[in-house]
Amino acid sequence: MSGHDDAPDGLDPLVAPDELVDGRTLDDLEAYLDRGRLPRDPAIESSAACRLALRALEQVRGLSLAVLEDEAARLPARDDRWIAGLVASIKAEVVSGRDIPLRHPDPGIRLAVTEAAVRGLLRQVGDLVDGVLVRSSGLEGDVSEPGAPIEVTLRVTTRYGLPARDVAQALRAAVASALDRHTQLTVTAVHVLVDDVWLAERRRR
Amino acid sequence: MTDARGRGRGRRGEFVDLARELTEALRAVEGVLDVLDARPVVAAVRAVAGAVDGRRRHGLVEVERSGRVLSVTASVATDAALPTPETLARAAEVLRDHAGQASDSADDEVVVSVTARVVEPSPGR
Repeated sequence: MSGHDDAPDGLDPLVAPDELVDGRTLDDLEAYLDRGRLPRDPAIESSAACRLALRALEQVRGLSLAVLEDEAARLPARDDRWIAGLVASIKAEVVSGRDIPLRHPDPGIRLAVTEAAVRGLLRQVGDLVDGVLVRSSGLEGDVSEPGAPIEVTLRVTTRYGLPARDVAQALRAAVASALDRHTQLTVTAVHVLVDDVWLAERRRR
Repeated sequence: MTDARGRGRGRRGEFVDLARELTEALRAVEGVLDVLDARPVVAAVRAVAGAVDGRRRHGLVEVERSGRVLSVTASVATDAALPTPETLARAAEVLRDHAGQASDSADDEVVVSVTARVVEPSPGR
């Protein structure tokens, strides 16, 4: 026990709740990743928010070293801001958000996928597009109403020199395919905002 | 409180064995990568800490009774390689059938809620 009446075991009572992902700091989760997710922590592994954050951190990690080194060389004060913005996006994304219902013929069965799961999915498929790092994503529209028109917005960083039109086209295709496969949303538009670029002297790791 | 047949305002502790069985059944469903805790975060952390301390381990599926309605709630991580709606449908049908068999009356109504909270690549992909 922690010895603090209000703090569950293993949680730090001095950290503000809004700094936590299901009771864990992102530093805790990074350290857990560093250990290869071993020994297995059941509290982390059974938390959807923690798993989404781990997945996002893993994806960002592979790219961020190369990007940060390039950016640091170009503009020394920038790396902290860049990574802080990305981390803030990840923390905002892993909060479950709205439930997105899925149809089932049995009225006694209710199925749903959370908005956070969908955002995590968008980050996964977006980051798989060559030269793209997803900074944030959003679903606009009433996702809890079956059939309601939904617009998706992805804010991304791309490798310098990639044609923005090609990037947007590849992202739209990837997003449409993933949402069609894993949700029953009526997606009417996928907006892609390229708000930054990185220099590509180093290969993606 | 509940009456002698377990009816009335259900409590989580009454269905420990069933919750554990449902958790195991859910793990075997194609496309379910993991069963996540359906309970609020703090309760879940306390339960996990309790299990680590050697106290009785609960299932991750939540089971509650209200009158003749048996409610089963589960949260899962699904495999991105398979369509999530189909995975969740399979999972819900397994839970409904299993809970229905475990119910003590044919008049009971079983209501199942399954939510995908994570969609991720299966290990090794």
